[in-house]
Amino acid sequence: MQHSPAAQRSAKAFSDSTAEVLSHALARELHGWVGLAVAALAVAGLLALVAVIVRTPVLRELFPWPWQDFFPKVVITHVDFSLIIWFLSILGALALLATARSTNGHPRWNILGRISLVLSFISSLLLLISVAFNLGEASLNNYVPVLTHPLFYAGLGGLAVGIAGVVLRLLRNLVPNDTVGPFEHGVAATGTTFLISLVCFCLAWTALPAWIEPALANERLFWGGGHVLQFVNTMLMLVIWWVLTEQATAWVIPHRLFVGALWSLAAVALSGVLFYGAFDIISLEHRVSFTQLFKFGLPIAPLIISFIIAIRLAIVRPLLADISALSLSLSLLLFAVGGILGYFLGVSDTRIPAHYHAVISGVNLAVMGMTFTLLLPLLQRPCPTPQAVRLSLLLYGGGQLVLSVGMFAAGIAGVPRKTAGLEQNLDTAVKYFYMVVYGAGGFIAIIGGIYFVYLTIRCLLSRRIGSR
Amino acid sequence: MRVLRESVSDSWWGVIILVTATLTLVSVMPAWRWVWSPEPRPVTYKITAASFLTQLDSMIATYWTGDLIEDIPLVHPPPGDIYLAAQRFRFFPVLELEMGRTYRLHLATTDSVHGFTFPLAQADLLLVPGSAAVVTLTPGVSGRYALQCSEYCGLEHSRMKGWVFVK
Repeated sequence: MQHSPAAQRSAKAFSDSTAEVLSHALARELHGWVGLAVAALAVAGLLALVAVIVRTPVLRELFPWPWQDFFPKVVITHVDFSLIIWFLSILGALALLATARSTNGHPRWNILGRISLVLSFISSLLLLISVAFNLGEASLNNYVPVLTHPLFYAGLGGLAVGIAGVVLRLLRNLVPNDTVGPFEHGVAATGTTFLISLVCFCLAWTALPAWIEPALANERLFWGGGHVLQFVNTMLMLVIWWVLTEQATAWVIPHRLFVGALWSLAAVALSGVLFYGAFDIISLEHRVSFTQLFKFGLPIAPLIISFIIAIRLAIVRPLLADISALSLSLSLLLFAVGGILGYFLGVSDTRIPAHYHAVISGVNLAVMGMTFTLLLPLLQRPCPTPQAVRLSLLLYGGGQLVLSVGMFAAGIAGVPRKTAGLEQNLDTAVKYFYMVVYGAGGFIAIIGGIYFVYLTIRCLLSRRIGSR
Repeated sequence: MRVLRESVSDSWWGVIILVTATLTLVSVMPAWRWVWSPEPRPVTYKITAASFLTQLDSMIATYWTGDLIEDIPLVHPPPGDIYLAAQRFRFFPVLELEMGRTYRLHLATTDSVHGFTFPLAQADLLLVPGSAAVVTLTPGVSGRYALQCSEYCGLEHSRMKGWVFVK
């Protein structure tokens, strides 16, 4: 009996079959995408440190920046590096793996990948230069906060083109055949959704009226596409859950269900494009339609997939000492908590960041787990000890859980979001207590995050296994 | 049970259920909006910032209690037409209303676009320059109620809050 290439490959572990098709050139490119992702996290961490210095009276006199408007600029760049560049670089890495797997390591338009990588690096540098030289004004709009300076917008645009390039290479090579499995379909659906977000940004750009003030212009420019980017993050997590489930339980999520879930999310995201034709971009309907898209379009697929994975984990009961099982379990937990909190949000208090910190850390934990169980082994770098990896996952996941619960409770008590120090108006003991809980959780999560970055950078900078 | 079991195995049932559920929920989004948020659409009319501020100043001059809340005058107007302005980054003035009485709250922005969220009146509005909205409210319970800007309007947006006292 003859087996198709996909059937033969599915008999092997996912990481083994991927390693077989990863040529030297593609491995070097993968090193670049993983490097960019981790560097983005490292930069985000440094910027968080700068934000602390900016707010600390004695320390801030030691550094020669103008302080009045520097804090929001640091926060903005921190957000863009820790959420946008980090996740999109991982999308770049997964698009590369899917391209390699669907072409047995011989993709067409291969040069596009390297051009995309270089462009993404340069674009990230432009964002960093913008904040380092204190350019433009800060705009703390939702999803993609910006500095209103051409260099910063050029950086964002370059990053968008860079990631689009690596996604287009995948779609160009993804001819439906035996080599296209659920992983490749999942990444293709995620990449397509990323392209949909770019269409939304472009439509918003053309729809903005001339009279609009900068704050609202940035809010509306990034509102719809920003929502679609959250679909991208969720889909990225679902694809990684597929990988981690296979590693943790030696079982794959049913092929058709998984592929249907991912492409249905892409279809829902596509309906967001219609909102630009249906509603005036400055209208309340435009704003509400995208939040409705979240509430009604996003939950079903992750709910069903997470339910199936949870049942499988309950049946197989893998040891939580296993990195794949631990990161998968923590990711499921944080994403579920964040998803539930999302249905009980306030208007402008800390319940909103509590919700997105929890869901984003769900995505982060999945990516962190996959970094150690798939990406670093594919790069043939020596992985850190399981104890060290477990510690970073537990610190980060546990800290984020405490942070989110504390922040949500503080929001109910009336603490406003995006404020610091006296602006928080912590005039009751309840507010103060919950913000202390938030702070403690944040401190633990930061330690876990720094430890993850340290472990990963140490691995990436070390020599390949077997090389002299 | 068979459908559930098959949906977890690799059958088309799971795909059909999932895709149908997702797309159905999205296609009936407007209905969900109506079920969950049945607030009436506000009446709107054209204004200029100057004309609205004239009416607002007149109300403040007549009904100011003499108290200031966070440097904003506390006003106790009679039932009927009352006025509230959204300005970067505050709502002006602070209103003191009577329980069980009905008010027609006229809202407008006097500078840029702002949002207006006020659970007491079940209101979530977008305030655009050149237009005022009218919301009818009859407060039923005494207390201090917050209203907030719900549209990003600048760095101080998160602190753009106003107050209504019900006695």
